Amino acid sequence: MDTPITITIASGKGGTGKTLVATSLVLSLPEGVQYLDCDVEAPNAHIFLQPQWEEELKTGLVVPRVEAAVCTACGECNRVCEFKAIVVIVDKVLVFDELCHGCGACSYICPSDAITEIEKAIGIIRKGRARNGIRFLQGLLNIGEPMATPIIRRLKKEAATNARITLRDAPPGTSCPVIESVEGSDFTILVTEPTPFGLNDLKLAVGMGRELHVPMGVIINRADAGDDRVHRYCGKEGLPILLEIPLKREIAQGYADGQTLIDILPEYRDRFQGVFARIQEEVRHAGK
Amino acid sequence: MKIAISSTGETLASKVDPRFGRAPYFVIVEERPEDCLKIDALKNTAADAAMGAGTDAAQQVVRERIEAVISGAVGPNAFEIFEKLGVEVFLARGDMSVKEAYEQFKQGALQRMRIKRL
Repeated sequence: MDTPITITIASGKGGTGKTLVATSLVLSLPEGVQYLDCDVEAPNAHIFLQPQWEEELKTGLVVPRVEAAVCTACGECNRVCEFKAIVVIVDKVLVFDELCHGCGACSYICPSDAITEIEKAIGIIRKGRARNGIRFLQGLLNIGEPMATPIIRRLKKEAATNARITLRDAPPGTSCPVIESVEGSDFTILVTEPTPFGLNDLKLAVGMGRELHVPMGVIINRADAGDDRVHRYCGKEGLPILLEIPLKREIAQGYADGQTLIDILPEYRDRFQGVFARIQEEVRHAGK
Repeated sequence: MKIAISSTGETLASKVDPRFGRAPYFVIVEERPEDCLKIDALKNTAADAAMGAGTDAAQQVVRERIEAVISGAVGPNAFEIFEKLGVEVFLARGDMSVKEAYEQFKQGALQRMRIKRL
C-alpha cells in the first residue's frame, strides 16, 4: 500500500490552467480522492466536478474589542501588533478589523485586561461529494474581505486525514495564500505556458517552492503557443516536465462549456495517470 | 496652527510625496507668533512596513498634535483616524514642493479630502 500523498497544483501566473489540470488529474485517479479548492477568492473547480454539498461551516478570525472604561491607553497593544491593526490615538484605541491577522498578541499583552476577542466570520467552508466519489472541499472568502490565508488554513484542517490522495488546487501567484496552499504538500505541480509572462512567473513560483523544500514538476499548457524558453529553463533547473497540453480550439471550447480535459479528449486519462505515477516516483526519490 | 505634509525629503524644498503611509518623511510646519514658521522633519518609521503603514503613520503624525495633513492621498484607515480627531486632510500633487503645497494651503487653494461611505 502506498503512503498517503498530497499534491498541490499551483502556478505563478494566473490563467495558465491549474484547474484544467487539477480537475482532469482527479478524474484520472482511483475513486475517493480528496480535492481541496484553495482558490478561495474565486473557486471554480465545482463547476467542472459538480459536487453535491453536504455541509457548510462558517470560518473566521478572532479580532480584539477594547473596553474603553478599563483601557488606560498605555499603547502596549499597538507596540506588539505586527500589522498596526490596533492604534492608540491620544486616549482612544481604534481597531481595524481588516488589518488584523487574529494572532491575539494584543489581548495577551494588555496589562489592564481591557481586550476581549470576538469571532468574526470572513468566509465559509463547503464539503460535498463529486463525480468519481471525490471528497470535495471548497473555501470561499466573503466579498470585501482581504485575507484569504485563514480560510485556506481552516480548509486544510477540515480535510480528512485518512485520504490516500489529496489534491490542492491553489490560487495563482506566490503570495501568502499560495504559500499556505503549498505548505505541507508532498509535491507541487507548476502549470505554466511558454510565454514571457509564463516563464517570469514560473521562476518566481520555483523560488517559492525551493524555500518550502517541496519537490516540483512542470506542466506546460498551450505548449505550442510560444517559444522554447520555458523548456530550456526547466532543463537548466532540473525540473521534470510532466506533461504538455497543446493550444487547441476544442479544448478551450469544451472547457468554456464546463467540461474537463478528459471529457473533451479522453486520451488524456492515460497521460494524467502517467503524470501521477511519475510524481509518486519523484516523491519516493525525494524522500531518500 | 501645526500641519504635517507627506514629503520625499526633510525640507521645504523637498517634493511632496503623493503617498501618505509610505512617505519617507513628514515635514511639520508650525506657525509661531510674528509670522515665524518652525519647520521640523519627522521620519516615518512605517514607510517600509509590510502592512498597516497607513494606520502607523497616522498615529505618528497625530502625536505631533497637528490640525491638518497635506498629502496626495490618504487611505480609508488613516483617514478614519484623522476624522476621529478632527484633523482635516488636504490634497496636493507630487510635483509640488512642500513649500508650494503649504502656500497653496494657506491661500485655500487645496481641495479638502472627503470619503463617501456606502
